[in-house]
Amino acid sequence: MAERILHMNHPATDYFLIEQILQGDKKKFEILYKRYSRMIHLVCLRYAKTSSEAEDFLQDSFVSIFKGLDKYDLDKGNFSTWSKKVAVNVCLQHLRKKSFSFYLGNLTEIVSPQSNDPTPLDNLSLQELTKKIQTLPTGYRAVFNMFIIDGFSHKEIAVKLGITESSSRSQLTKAKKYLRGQLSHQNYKVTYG
Amino acid sequence: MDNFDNIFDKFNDEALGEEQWLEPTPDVYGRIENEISDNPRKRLLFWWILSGISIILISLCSFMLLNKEDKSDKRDADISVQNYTTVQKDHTPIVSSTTPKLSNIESVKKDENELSKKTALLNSARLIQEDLDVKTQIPTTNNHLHLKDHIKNVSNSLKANLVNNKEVKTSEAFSKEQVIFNKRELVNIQFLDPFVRNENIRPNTRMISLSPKFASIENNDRDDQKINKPWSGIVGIHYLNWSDKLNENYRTALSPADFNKSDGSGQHIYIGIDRELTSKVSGQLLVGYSNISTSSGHNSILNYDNSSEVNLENKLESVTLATPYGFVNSDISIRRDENASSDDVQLFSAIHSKHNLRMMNVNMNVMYQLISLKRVDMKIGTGLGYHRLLELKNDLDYINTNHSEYSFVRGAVTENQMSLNNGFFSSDLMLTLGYILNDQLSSNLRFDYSQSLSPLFNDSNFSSTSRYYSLGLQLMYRL
Repeated sequence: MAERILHMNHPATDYFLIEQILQGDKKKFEILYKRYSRMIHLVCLRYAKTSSEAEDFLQDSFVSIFKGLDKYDLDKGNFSTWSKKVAVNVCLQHLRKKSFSFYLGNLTEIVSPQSNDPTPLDNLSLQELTKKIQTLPTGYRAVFNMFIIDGFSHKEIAVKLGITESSSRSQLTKAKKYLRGQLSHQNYKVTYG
Repeated sequence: MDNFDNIFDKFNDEALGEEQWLEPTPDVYGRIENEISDNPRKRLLFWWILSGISIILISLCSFMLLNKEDKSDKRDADISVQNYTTVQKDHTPIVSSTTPKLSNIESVKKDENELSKKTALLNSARLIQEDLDVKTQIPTTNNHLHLKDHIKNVSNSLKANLVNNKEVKTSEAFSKEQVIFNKRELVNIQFLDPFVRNENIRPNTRMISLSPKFASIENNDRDDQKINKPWSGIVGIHYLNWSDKLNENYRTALSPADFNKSDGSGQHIYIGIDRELTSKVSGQLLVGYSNISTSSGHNSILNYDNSSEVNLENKLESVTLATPYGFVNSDISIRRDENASSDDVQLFSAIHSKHNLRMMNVNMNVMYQLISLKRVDMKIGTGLGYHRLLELKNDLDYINTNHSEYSFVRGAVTENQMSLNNGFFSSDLMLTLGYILNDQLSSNLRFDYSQSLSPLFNDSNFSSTSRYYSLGLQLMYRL
């Protein structure tokens, strides 16, 4: 317990910084920003379609983090986990505003023939992988990010995106298929009905 | 086979120190700092908004106070009725008693004595002042003389009336006749009654048709005018914001193409009639015409086939485009730059279309008056609308080929949507803020919200419904 208190009071800890920010020292927020901007930027890049859009998401995420600092509870997890959740929520809000569809059913077929030797996704670098994810249609991208990377269950995704659990599963399957197809350098054709 | 667990690990590794590409541009923090700091401009905006709200509230309060002052003589009259009753209760009634038709008006026993005359005289004088153009509220000798003249006139009229009708009602019947008017008038008439009766009416006789004789002291409240003139003509023009909602299946089908649509805008003009049903409720029938423009767009792969190229142009025929109202076919011409390779190319293009809707509308509404001040009123309403689609015109706006060596030349929609519902119903909500310009003309600022009850486009699994908001100016003329 004493060790934890000592750790919390260390000037470098997030907790100490947050305390100071809440007491009115707003300049300390820049330290938090510098500490976590890359991590949050990566979250935003995954959800956004372009880099400039990701920076908009990043800006709003940090504004939301700042405004919600008083709600942050150290006992419920470390600051990086909490701030990442805030960023994901901000990204989803942005996607909803764009009125893109999150809904996927059985009517859409993406023709994406598998090549004989596709490059496994996990062999790609972080940057390459992020760029591949950005090519996903918005609905696929949201579900893929939420389930594969951010650890949401299909039930949670369904609630957050206002879709059914089966839609979420189907969307994820199609997103994976789409990504594999991308790696096989095949073209995609969208068919209706 | 891909291992998605590894992908999870890769993205959740917090050691991102070497990933320089993740560094945001330097101006991002500047923008964040601007937002989290106390922006003086924002504070100024807050005070402006607060001032605006205060002005509106003060204006509303002033209106309400003025309205109260206008009704002050009515309150006095009510009090006088009570005094009058108290004074009279020990005296034997000579004529009859009025039956209370409104809860706050007590039954008034009428008698003939000096005190009652004086009380009634004072109240009547106050009510008649307007008619005599007397500014002071205190009855003077001069005012009494005017009042006497006025009473004489009234009495003469009554005499003539009695002769014509050959039947006289009691003051009970008299109250029944008057109850359709507002409380104020009823009280006025009760006060005048002893004088009239004193000089002209024998006890226990019945009177009829007295009300027209008191026209000179009728107040000018708007409610009375409405009752007298229940029909109004309406004309209006609105700015309209239109949006389409695609059903889940349709959205699903279009999602991979990143289909997007924008809200439309347009104008709505209408004429109609308004019928007062009660003092607060009215019915409306409106007939109108709307003109709405919307746009939509999506991605599509256009295959540039060199074998069918003519003069560096390739005409793509019957390309299917998606719209909020179903699918259309179009012919598209793409030009190849002469320096571009002659290989066949797939162009990942963004296609933008425009849509224009023209409609006839019939709306039936019921309006309820929420607030009625001297010249201003506010009404809410609900209704049912029927919309008849006259024309849906689609235009191919432009195509971005996303390729520097291939450009869009021209395009035209060759086949319009199928499965359109030419007629659909809507449920409507409305709010009006009215201002009376004169006895016959009033203007309203009107806000409407309309949600269609059936789809405009419906093809098995795909459908789209519409809704719109509109804001405009409406003129009402009492017929």
